Amino acid sequence: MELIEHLALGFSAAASAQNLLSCFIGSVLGTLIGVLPGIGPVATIAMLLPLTYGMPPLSALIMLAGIYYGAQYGGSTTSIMLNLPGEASSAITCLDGHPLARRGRAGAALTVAALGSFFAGCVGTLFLAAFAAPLTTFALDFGPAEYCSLMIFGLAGAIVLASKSLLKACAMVVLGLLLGLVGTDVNSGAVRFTFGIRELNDGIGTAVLAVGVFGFAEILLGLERLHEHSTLTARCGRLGLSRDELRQATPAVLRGTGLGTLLGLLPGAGALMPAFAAYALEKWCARDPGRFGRGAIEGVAAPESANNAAAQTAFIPLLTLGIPSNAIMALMIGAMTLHDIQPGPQVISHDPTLFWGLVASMWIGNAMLVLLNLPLVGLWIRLLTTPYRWLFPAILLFCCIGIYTLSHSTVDLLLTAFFGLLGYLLQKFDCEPAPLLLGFILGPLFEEHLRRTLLLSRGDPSVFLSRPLSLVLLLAAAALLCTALTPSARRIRAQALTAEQDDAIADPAR
Amino acid sequence: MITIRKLRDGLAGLSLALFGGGVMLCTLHYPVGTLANMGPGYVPRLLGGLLVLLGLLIAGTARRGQPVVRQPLAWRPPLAVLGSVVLFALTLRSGGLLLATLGSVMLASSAVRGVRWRERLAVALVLGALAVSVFVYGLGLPLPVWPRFGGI
Repeated sequence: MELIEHLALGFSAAASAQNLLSCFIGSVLGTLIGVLPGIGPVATIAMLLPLTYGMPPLSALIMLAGIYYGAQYGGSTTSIMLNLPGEASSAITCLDGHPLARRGRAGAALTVAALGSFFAGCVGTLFLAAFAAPLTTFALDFGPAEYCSLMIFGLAGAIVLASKSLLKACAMVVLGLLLGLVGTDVNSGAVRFTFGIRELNDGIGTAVLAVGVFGFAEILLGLERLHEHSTLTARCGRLGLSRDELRQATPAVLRGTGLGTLLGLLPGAGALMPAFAAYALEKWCARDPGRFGRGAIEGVAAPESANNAAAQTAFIPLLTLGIPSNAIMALMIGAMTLHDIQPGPQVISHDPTLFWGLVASMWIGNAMLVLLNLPLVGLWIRLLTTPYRWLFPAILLFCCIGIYTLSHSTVDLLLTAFFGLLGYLLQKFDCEPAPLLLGFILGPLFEEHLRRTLLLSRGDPSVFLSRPLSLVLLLAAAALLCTALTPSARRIRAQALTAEQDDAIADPAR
Repeated sequence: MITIRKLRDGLAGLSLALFGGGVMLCTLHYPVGTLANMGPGYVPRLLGGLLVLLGLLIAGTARRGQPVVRQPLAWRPPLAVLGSVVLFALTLRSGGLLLATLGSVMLASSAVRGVRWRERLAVALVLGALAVSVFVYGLGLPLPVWPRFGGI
């Protein structure tokens, strides 16, 4: 029963006053930004990175992780009450959550979302605790060739699971990889693509890129839909579920949790794709699919469970292999390196308190989130009535202060503004920024491992195919890309796309 | 008839291809090396080429989608929001946090039409006080609060 020993170690670490406090702060902040449209976890974590510098590493990671899964809880409140996704991953919840709210059953939808998320979060964390350690022993055999193939697999996943065009996602990955190469080349010491800007010698900061491309772009998009923010159409009504609703929701929560747990493992999955897949599964399972879109409780239960389960299992590739599976995990790598922790398979053995403490904190955080979200839901709804014209200058200001304090550099701020413009243009071009950030983080790693592999093999690229693990990973990547091109997968992707578009143009007044 | 979607995808693809071409041009200055011993230019040139290819593919396959309702491109929000970041960057060191906040919040809030002066000023003042009390006095970040005269 090694697992129980480990968890005991984790809980004793996570239950210290400081770590409980940072878990609480993370959960509150996560709920807050989840509820507020126009700011997401990526921008928040990027902006808070510098503030965690003075904290012990475990507390910092606990807080940042709390922001991520907390946002999954908060996002559903906005989706249900306002028909506006507070978080991208809650976009699917609008489809049935808001009709429920219009029927006066907002309370039921909120309860299902919170309890489903809690159940899924607990299961996802258990999965993480049980499978991370065995996976690590496997990862210790990885050489540079395997790492290269693993990254290719990860990027293929990011491309396939991006909800928009495959070609554009490919281009975003390549663009991200290129941006990641800016700065000093580790092997030769040559300085690349800096255009004489000294601050770029160490590369573009992760926070600079993330706040620009995600944060500022989110604000600009928020301003475009400004008119939608003022309508709080529904009242909350009674919390709690009727017996019928409970009977319908329970299997949906179980299915959503299972699907989310597995999809969260896939690189590039983020939290939107599991939510969408869970919704599609419910519709497919249901005896009467016509109820969906008109306030079926399963349509809230399944996606909310799935996005929360995925938010927990997404930590597995990060903590065992050191490879981020989505944009948030990429920022967690930034947080770890800020504290001199080298992400990878050695974290569990070298620093067991950190790993198990983080895992244990996820249970504590999920429990806190249920308490924060259910009884206090009125408070969060009240927050939604704050006009966006007051909120966005505050978000903008906090982003600016966060970026500046990272390195006390004016140039970093100007660069962030530049990436904000880039992010805005990409949105206008209908290109998703998430694969870009993933490519950006993996760029230097990928180049290093590629060069090392080919140096060791004396320029023979067949080494990628002759090493069995590497071959398996490459085949898996190829399989992922091929399935995405099959007609049925194309249809599902097209559905996802229209779901999102419908959501974007949904009439808030009705 | 050119629909917005086609125009959008075409523009997106061409700009990506152009960017990739620019990257390839830049790598002319870097040694490329061989497959066994790659120089600093090898991977960027490869990726730049790939981006050109992908960009052209995106532009080439831009299809006519459903006609999208044509909206006038709003210049005001991006200009005000990104401009306020630039203003904050340029005024923080010499003007101090308070002034930089006031200026950038006033500029940012001009992104929304029809908000009264008094309201914008009130938001700016509240945020200025909040920023100074939370970040400088609360968290102890080393930021200048007041303008500095004659210094850097």
